[in-house]
Amino acid sequence: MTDDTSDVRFASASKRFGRTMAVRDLSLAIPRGAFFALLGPSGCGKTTTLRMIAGFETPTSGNIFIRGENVTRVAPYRRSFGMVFQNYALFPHMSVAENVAFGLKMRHISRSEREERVREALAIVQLNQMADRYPKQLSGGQQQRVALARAIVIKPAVLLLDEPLGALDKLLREEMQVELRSLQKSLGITTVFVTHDQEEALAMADQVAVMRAGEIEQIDAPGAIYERPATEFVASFLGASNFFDGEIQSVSGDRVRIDIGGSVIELPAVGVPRSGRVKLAIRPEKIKLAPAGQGRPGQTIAAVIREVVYKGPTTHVIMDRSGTAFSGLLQNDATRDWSPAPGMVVDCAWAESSLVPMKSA
Amino acid sequence: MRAINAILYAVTGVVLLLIIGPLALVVLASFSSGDYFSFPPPGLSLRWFQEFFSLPNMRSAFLLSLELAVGTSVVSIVLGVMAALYVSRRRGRMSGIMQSLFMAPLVFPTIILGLALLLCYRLVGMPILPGLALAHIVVGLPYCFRATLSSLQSFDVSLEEAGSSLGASPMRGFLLITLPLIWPGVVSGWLFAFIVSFGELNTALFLTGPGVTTLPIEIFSYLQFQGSQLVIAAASTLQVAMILLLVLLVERAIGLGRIVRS
Amino acid sequence: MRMLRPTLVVLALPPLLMICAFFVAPLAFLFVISFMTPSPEELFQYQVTIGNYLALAQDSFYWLILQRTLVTALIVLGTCLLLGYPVAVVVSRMTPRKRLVMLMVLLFPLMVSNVVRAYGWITILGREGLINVTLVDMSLIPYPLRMLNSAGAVGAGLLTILLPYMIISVANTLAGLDKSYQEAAQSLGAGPVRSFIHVTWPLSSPGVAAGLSLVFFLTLSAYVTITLLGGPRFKLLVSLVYDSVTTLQWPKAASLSFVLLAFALIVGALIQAGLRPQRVQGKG
Repeated sequence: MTDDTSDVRFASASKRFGRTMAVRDLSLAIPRGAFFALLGPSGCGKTTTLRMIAGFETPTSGNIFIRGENVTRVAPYRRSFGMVFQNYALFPHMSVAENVAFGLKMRHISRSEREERVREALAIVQLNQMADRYPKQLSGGQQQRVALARAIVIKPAVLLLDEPLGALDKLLREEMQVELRSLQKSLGITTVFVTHDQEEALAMADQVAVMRAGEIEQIDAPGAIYERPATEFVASFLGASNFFDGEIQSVSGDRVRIDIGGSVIELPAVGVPRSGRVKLAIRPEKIKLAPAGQGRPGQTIAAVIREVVYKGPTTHVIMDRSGTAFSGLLQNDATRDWSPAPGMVVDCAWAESSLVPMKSA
Repeated sequence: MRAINAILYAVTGVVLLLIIGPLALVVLASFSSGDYFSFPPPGLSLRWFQEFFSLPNMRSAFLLSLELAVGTSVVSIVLGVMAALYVSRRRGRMSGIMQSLFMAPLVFPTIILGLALLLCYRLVGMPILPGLALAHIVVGLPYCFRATLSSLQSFDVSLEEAGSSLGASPMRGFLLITLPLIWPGVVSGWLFAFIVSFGELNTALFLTGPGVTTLPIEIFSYLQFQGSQLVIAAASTLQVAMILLLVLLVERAIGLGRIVRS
Repeated sequence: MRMLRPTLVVLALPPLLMICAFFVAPLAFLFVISFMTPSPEELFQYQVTIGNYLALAQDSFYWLILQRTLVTALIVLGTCLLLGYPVAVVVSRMTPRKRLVMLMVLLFPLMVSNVVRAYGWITILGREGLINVTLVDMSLIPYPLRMLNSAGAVGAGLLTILLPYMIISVANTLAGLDKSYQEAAQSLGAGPVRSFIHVTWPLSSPGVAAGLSLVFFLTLSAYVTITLLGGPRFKLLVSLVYDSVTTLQWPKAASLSFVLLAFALIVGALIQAGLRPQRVQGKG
């Protein structure tokens, strides 16, 4: 089962630490050139997955392939990967240039070529002037770039990033996200990165895998994973979600009618069971709010406002509908001609596609 | 890798044998029923401990060492806490200089300190026992200072400020708030001062005299002039037992981690 | 803070006075005596001279002892490092709980007086000691070997005392090292050996330098161990200090003390220069 287009492939790999299963029966192919994010809360197995690609952890069962070669039993230093560590792990006793040259030296590359490639790599991360400095003399962002240069200079099959931006402050982090992404695209290097920050994953990756308790819940492009979350966990881990418990009333052709506690709504019958219960998710910003009586009839449900939280660009509205709380979002633009207030009754409307049925667990 | 690990563990075994072997052998020999050292001992008995306590020199040396260790370690810890309080509450060059001054006796060759003190004492006519005690206080001070300082550095000064805002005087604030919190450091500092004084050889070499001999010096001169006898093993075992007892007591009070860290 | 500044100074005075009166002043006095003229009637004469140091420089016996001290110390340092480093690696890999127990096992012998541990070696190496008795009993040797009063016995005795210092010093540094340094080296293609040479060893240099300096200082001043196991024939620098005191040659003893101190400082500086631990500490 060789797959030419994938640079990294897991074949039912599992990793057990004592009694806990860190990664459970993972099968996954990461296509060449992809920027692949492993996203999840701490302890979900994302770091273990990354460390199995590197070889710092050996799977308890199953296999791992890099560029079609089974590397499951291959020592880390014989694998072709570059890694940026969470704390960068720059060697403090070596200058920036020596750090970057280290991997080339280990590969017995001639001195002249080494110098040339170090210069190129430092140029890519715009740190040519810093070649003779020591890591401790650099800022956090600069250290991050050195770590990146050190990892890419060896032209690895895959680049691994372990929470690469975690140690930077917010402003620098956003800047580096853009920079890292454009760098990855221009080098075309297959990249796997681990993060617990959903915004970072959405902003940088082509593909996001959401992990939970050692298993992948969903793999999709950032847009799809946010707009069409497959499970309740994914829907609530990435951004905020409201959930409605529904009961299937009837199916007619490709349409299904669902009772969500008092109101009945209609949805396309895709991904919805024929009968029984179903959970539906909707993002707060997909809910259109209007004072009662002003929305179009038939597609709206009524709710009472409980609390209003002003957040600058937006206003969060917490509502109550027959005992269940859910939230909506209002843009604070000047065209809005009403203000929400506790006790007010509002009509909630949404596009059909915004209501996403959850896979039953 | 497997070969490397095998070598690592083999070396560890040899080293542990080197470090513990001689000590273990001495303890074993002290319980021998034989007249001289033999391995394995012909039988077990406590005769050498009886012999030890029947020798007036040995007995008095043991008691003197014990008294000296108790007395000097208490003075050391009081001075050490004072010094640590000052250094931890003051920044700047003066505080840095004082810190290295209080730590200096730790790395300084104590035999030279013993010699220097001997010459001074001769000049001013210092009696033997107080002179020896003063030397032990100086040698124990850095241990007390270091352990207390490391406790104080992780101590949040705002707790003491909270105390004073509630009306505690500086003295009561220290006794009721600071001291209970830095207690583990103080106890382990005192433990080291006691142990160092109890086994101290280098200053005692010059500063003991007729009628005033510590146990280590008594053992040393016995070995030098009367040769190796099993009563020495008994004396050594008593020393080991004393220290073991003390370490266990302190371990109960403040935990093993605290002792190892200071 | 409510504790007033004068209170704080009053607090510092007693320990400061103690250190000044019984540490700094006596050493200053010793330094002065090293420049005093020896006198047959008094202990010394108040007359400044550099003759004590000159006399040492012209004494070939003294040079022999100095050379022997250096060679002994270097062998002890080398062996300590060679045996201690692997143990430190093992200790640093242990779980925190096991490491604590192991450190206590290493620390405990340090608490027992040096004279007891020297005596332990006497029971092993002596005429009626463990080795001789065993070998004679097995008829491997016709009569007991003379193992005490030799350089080897002193070396063994010093190792017993000094290995724990070396191990604890290196193990603390190794245990504090971030594992990701070694992983970074591996990710860049360095196998176990090269990862050790280029990364682990330089990063452990602060612990190695501290351990070696401590071991050297303690070797220089371990009078009791040297005397009990080296006997009258195997004398080192510190033995000369003691002998000069017992023969009441105060100025000579004083000048020898400062030669010993200078020796310690020079070798300590050489260790720092050789290992450059500051590369991985503080500023680059």
